[in-house]
Amino acid sequence: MKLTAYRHPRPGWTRPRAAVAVGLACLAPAAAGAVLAVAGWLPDPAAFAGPGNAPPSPAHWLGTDVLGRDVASRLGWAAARFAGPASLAVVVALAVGGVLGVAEGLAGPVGRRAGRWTAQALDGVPKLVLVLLAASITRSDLGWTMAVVGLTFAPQVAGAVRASIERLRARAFIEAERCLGVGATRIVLLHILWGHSRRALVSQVTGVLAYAVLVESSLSYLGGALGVQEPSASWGNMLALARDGLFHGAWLPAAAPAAAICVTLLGFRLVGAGLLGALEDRP
Amino acid sequence: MSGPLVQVDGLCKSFRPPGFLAGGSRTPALRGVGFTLGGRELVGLVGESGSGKTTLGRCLLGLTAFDRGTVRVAGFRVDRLGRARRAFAREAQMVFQNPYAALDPAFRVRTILGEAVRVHGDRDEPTARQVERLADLVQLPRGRLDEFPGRLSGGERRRVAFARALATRPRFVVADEPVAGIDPPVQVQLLELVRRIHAARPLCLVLISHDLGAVRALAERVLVLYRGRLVEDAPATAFFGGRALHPYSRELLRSAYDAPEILAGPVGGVRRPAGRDQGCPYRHRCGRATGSGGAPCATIRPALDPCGPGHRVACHRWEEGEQP
Amino acid sequence: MTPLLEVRDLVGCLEGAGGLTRVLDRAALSVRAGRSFALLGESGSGKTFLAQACLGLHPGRPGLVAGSVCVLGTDVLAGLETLVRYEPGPSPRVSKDVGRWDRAVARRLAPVLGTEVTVAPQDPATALPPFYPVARLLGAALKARDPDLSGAALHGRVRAWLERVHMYDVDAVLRLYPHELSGGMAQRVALALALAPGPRLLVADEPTTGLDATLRVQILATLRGAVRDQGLTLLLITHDVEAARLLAQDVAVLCAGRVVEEGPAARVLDPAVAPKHPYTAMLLAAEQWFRAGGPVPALPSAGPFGAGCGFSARCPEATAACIGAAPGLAQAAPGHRVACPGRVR
Repeated sequence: MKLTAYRHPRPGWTRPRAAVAVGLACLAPAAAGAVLAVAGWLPDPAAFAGPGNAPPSPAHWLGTDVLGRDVASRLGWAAARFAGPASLAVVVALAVGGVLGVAEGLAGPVGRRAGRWTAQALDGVPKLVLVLLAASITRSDLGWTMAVVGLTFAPQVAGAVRASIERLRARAFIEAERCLGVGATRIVLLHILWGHSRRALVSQVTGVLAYAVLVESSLSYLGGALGVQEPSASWGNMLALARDGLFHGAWLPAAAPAAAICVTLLGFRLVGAGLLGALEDRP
Repeated sequence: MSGPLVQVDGLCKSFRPPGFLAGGSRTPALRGVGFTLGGRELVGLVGESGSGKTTLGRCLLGLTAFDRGTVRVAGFRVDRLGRARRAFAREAQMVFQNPYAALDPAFRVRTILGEAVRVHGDRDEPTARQVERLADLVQLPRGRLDEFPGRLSGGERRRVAFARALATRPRFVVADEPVAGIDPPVQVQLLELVRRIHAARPLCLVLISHDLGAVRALAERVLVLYRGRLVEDAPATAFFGGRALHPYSRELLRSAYDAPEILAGPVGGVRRPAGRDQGCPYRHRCGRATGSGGAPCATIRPALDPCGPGHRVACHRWEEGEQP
Repeated sequence: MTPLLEVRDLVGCLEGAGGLTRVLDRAALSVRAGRSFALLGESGSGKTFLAQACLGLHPGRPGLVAGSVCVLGTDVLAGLETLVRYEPGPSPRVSKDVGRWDRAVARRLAPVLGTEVTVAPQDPATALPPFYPVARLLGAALKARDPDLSGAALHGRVRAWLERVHMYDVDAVLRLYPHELSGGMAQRVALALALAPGPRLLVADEPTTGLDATLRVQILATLRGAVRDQGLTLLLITHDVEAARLLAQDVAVLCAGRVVEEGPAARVLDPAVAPKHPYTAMLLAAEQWFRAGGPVPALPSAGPFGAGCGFSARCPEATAACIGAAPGLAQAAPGHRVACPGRVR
């Protein structure tokens, strides 16, 4: 016989909250590395500091790569360098998606149709093709590539924005605000998007970020004219450089960036899923 | 300003029935309603459910578009507000029917009231203090301002809804069923509060209610709506003092106040309502019409004609109501 | 003669956002055949919870945790004590196997629920099953009692029931689905559904709340007619004092999950009869004011239920003893008991 305890007060540790907490924990190493790198507490990432493929030591926490550069420092610097372009992807996705979504949800028939068609046209182009195109046109400028990553996510953000506007616009409390003379812009931004959709939007943002990490790593791994160029560090080009060493016993220089990519992606996914789950939890 | 505060003429509104196979036949909700309200009146709008009370209230504030007629409130044509919506909101406000749905569950009460103050309040005074004065006005404990609406009781939600409507210092307020669905002791307190607010402010208040007790407690004038038509417009003292002249008004009063006597006798069902013809819409339920063989109730629709000081009724045989 | 419904020392808890609250606190009542019973109280007093819990209708979790319920002589909760662990106190602790408990209660009530005992729900517009037209719903309710009914006989009975609840346009209504009914029509259909099986006990949950005056009188008349013609007994759950006065012979007043006054309706609901619990007095004063107007009665401001006696936070006469412990019911007159030591010693 299984008696379920009904405690007082109710336990606050729900599954979505746990997901968000674990996700944030997964993101912590990358964030910490970036902070340490920018603060200057890590060795120079481009300096050839010792023998190649050295094992971890107090001087080099994660050892050195095949050229003798500090792996931990390169991981941290890669994260720090990527923070800006990734934020650009988020800003583009939110701005373009927000405008399209508000147009679809609020504008008159013409604006609505224009918004929907633009979103559908953007959604119709395969994401990776567009990103590769942008990378080759702009000669792998990371900022431009990430802006295009944001653009490819705009239809998804637009869908979320439109859905929350349509779900809420007929509700009595929105009508009450209208009756009060509150302007349409303020109702949409404050009451609909901030008040009732911020978790859904943040989960969209984590989706954009996860995709941005994946795209940047893939491009840099492929190398050639794509992605971040040596000697600048990127998790993708670190992995590419360490690839051959993997078969000669030097697994750490490959495993470290691989683990960083996996754990960071997992972190973004968990935070996003947790926020959406918390949304469903609410009455 | 000249003229009455609220002027309604020939207001008609019909709804398309729900369901996509329902076709073109529209259900009329209001059929030619007309009245005027003066500066500080406290008016009760009564009628059975489905009589069009809520629709009329929403049309008065331009929240529902209507088909024909004109509604002027404080000098605004409410069907042509456009950019004047914010200016209009200073003059006229609504207390919405269901305070469970009309208060945004995602914001604290302080924020909800602050929003109203931000749009219309005094720029020189801090918003927080204005919000607290609103809370005092509706006798909401200040500690409750930091709660989310979901944790307020029914009575407290109504107080918040009132406070929000009063934040713009309107001259005209429509309160849609402000006390429905809460416990009678709380209703008494709320009605007393509304009466005090009305006495203290230059305010014209329309109280929509299916509960004659609430209207009796407050209103100075009663409008009776039957199937989308105004059938009686009477001073409250006359209406509740035995001089309700329309047979439908009498039926309402009897149901509300003489339930034991009605139950003692046989109770008939609601008879089928009249179709779309030229006769009196109420004649199928009316003792006076059937007693007289039909004429003129079956052929001529009665107009809302004066029958006493400040008293109008839409009945051919209203004199029969005068007899004790 | 055994009562139709007997409840003793019933304790129920609900889990909410703020934690576990005790909704019923040792509530007791007994509904006798032929004496309709009104359970009177404000919202939050636990009256709907009590009715739903007694009939196994899932009022929320964890639900009932102690006490006994007898429906038509069947002890519904017998032997279920092992499924629940309850520690009383200011903040109660409960462990319960809700699934097994509910299944056991449902199994024991299955023979009578829907036939001998029926329920008219609080909100018929959402409580009616949405998939079938009215004719089929009513037909199923009639067949629950008389499985051999079919064809024209069944159709005739269905029509007759709709006419009994004062429905016009019966032919049109038969084809409608519940979501197409207006509020008043849904209320009447729900009532017909509850009356059609010919129950001995009808539990009517707030049947007049939110209705306009004409409709309310019709519903009251239908209920009164059913009591008179069908010989059923009514358990009326309401805050409408006049409805209780018109329909019930016995009354229990519920405040914060506890019965604070019980007795014959003629005594309890008569404002002139003393002694009376201050809570009952307040309910009656509000009702009188709505009927007759006049000066506003000094009503204790509505607020949270207090400690000890549930009314202590609002009661003008509350003493330290009222806040310390909940007073028990004491006899005020034969059959009339009041739980207020200030009024009845």
